[in-house]
Parts: sequence; structure tokens; C-alpha cells
Amino acid sequence: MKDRLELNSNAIYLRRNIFNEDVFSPLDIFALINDIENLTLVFYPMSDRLSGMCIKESQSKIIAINSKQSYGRQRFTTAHELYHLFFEDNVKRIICEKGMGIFKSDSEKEADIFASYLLAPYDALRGYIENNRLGGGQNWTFEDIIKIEQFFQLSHQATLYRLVCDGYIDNDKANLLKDNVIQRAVRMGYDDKLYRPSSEEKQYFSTGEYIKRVEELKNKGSITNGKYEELLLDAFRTDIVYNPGEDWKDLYD
Amino acid sequence: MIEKIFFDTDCLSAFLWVKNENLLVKLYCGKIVVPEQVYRELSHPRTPQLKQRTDTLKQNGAISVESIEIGTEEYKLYYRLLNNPEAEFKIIGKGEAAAIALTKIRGGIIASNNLRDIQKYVEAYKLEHITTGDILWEALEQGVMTEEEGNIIWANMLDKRRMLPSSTFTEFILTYKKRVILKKGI
Repeated sequence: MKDRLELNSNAIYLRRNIFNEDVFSPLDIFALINDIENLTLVFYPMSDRLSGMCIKESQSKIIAINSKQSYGRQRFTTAHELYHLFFEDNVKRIICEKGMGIFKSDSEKEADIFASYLLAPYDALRGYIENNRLGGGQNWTFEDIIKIEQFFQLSHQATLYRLVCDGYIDNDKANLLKDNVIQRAVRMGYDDKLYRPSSEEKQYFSTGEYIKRVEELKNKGSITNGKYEELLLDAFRTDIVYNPGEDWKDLYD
Repeated sequence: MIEKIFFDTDCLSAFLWVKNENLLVKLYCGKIVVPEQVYRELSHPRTPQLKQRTDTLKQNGAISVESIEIGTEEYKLYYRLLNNPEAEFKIIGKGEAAAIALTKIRGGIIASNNLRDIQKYVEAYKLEHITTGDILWEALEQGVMTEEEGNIIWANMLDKRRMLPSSTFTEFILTYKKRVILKKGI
């Protein structure tokens, strides 16, 4: 299994060379992923035990995310799947289970560690802790953990897992910091988006290469409008096929 | 005497979106056939209202949902249309292919808005064809709705990005009348 240093390097490589991002900033992964060539991102409500999956077929890459999981977890899963697609050989189809920890295969453990470092590189997390004078992890309060996860937009579980792995806190401390996260976060003035699943209308959705290709086929006149709409509906893009209503009017502000 | 009318997704969805499927019921009750492939396209998880309205029509006996059995003539044509269309023909969707295959083999009329797209298929298979505009014209002729109501329905359909040939129903009526005059050679 790769060591953490190498996985952090992989994460920084992807940040710099694929996303054109620095090492310290929080990552808007869903916006940046649309610029990756030949990659399609699909949101779909999967079984509770699954977090996502990825498929690599010749030039095409697909990442599917369980949209029933929290936004933070969806971000983490997307980063996790990027590891399979960019840093593993002979990937065809990988289905990823939700849990984190020792019972996973080496590949899954590596992808989890990579995902954590992609969203919050080692130096970025250390810098944040130093700059905010959080001091020793064993003295941290629930609020300190929430500040960290809100800054990096990591799920609460992924944040605790990472802080334990990097030695900031131990497992006993982490176990004390698991309950009533949403209530505490909103009382600190944060939005609860990080901890909630996708809204109902976004549970089935897709972005990226597939949509661009369908538009190209239509513009070239290769397919009928019926085929165009069928392909978009297959990708859950009813918003493109049908005007969904007043709520979807463009805001130019 | 109108025979069976095989609806494509775009034509039926145009009426379902604007909640005016009652016009179809008044004009063609019991004659409307929805190919299974079209029904599936209308059963999309993000548009449950379309499925709900289609199911109500089905339960009331106003429409029937019909499938294409493997090995039948309909299936052979459906398969060919989807997988091996003529070189100069555009690639068509499953709903369109099913409506064409059923109309051709079982006999009847195909209802589809994408006239420009499927014109070659309509001509090649000598299909009788109607569009949403034709249906609204018939509704007007039979006194099922007024021109003003037609214009509202038309505008609502355009708002749902349904493909219609003109910006208003009134404008459509004018071109429709011209077409009829030309056809009759008056």
C-alpha cells in the first residue's frame, strides 16, 4: 500500500496539474471536475451502503455519486473516485462502499486517504490549525472541528478520520465529537448544506462530457430532436429538455 | 373514421405538460396508443407528474400502452430503425422508432411534432402523420376549444420547450389554411 506522503503528493499533483489550483485553498470540486476532459459526473440515489462508483472505458470516464449522502460526503466520494481513475492502472469499474477504516482493501484505503488530502492537503490543514491558533488537538472543542470541516468542506466523518490519522486527536476524543453536528453547526452561523443530501430535484442529475457530446450531436444534425431529448433524459437533464418553471429563470447579477 | 393514433413522446408530453390532455380524450378517446418506449420516457423520475397523468389516462381507458414483442415484424422494423437506419437519415430515438414501427405494421396515424426530423421516415414508410398543431386545429374545428384558448395552450407548450412550427396558434392557423388551399389547388 502507498504511504500517506505519496498519496498527499498525488493529491497535490492533481490539484496543480489537473485543477490548476494551489495547495492551500478549499476546493470547489464539482465546478473544477467539469473541466476534466472526457469525464461525466452522475448523481444518483444509491443504496445506503454505497458511496459511489467509477467506470473507465477507453477515453471515457464516469463517476457516479450517491446523492442520498451528505454534500460533504459527496465531495469526498468524488475525490475518492478521482484517485481510482487517475492513479490506478487497469481500472474498468469500481463500486465503492460507504464506510471508512481498516476493513477496506488497500486500493479503497488509498483512495480514502487521497480524497482527504485532495480536499485538505497535509500542509493546508496544518497551516489552518496554526493560523487559527487551535493548539493541541486533545483540547479541541466540537466547534473547532466544525470550523475545520466548514473551511475545507469535508464531511464530519471524513474530518474526524483525517484528524485521527494525522495524529491531531485520538479515537476516544473522536468518539466524543460525533453527535448533533448539524444543530451545532447552524448555531455557529453555518449553513447546513454540508451535512444534508442533495435536494430532491438534484438527486438525479449529471454534468460534464456526456452533456457536451449530446449537444454536439444535435448541432451537427446527426440525431433527431426526439433522440436528443431521450439522451438528455437518460442523463436526468429534464431541466434542459423541459423548462422546469419560474424557479429556474436565469439570474444575471 | 380515425384509426389508431400512435403517439411519440414529444407530442403527448406537449399536452401533458400544459395539463390539456383532456383535448386528446375528447377528440380521440380509446384510439390513442402509447408505445411502451414512449411510456418509459414519460416515466422519468424527475418528471413524476407526466407519468401520473399518463397513468390516469390509462386507467380511464382513454389510452392504451402497447409493447413490441421480440421476433414480430414490428420488432424487426423497430430494431432496424434504431440500429441500422438509412445512411442519410438522422438517428432517431426509441420512442420515435417504436411509434413509426407500430404505425407502419399495425396501420394508423403517427402523432409526432418532429416533422422536420422524421420527414424522411414518414415519406419512406408512407405514414399518415399528425402534429400537435393539427390536433389543436381539429379541436378548434370541432368546437372543443376557442382560438383564444388555443393560443394560450400554444404559448404554454412553447414555454415547456415543445417543438411547434410558429410562435402563436393564430399564425399556425393561417399557414394551415394556406396549406389546405394549395393542396386542393383552389
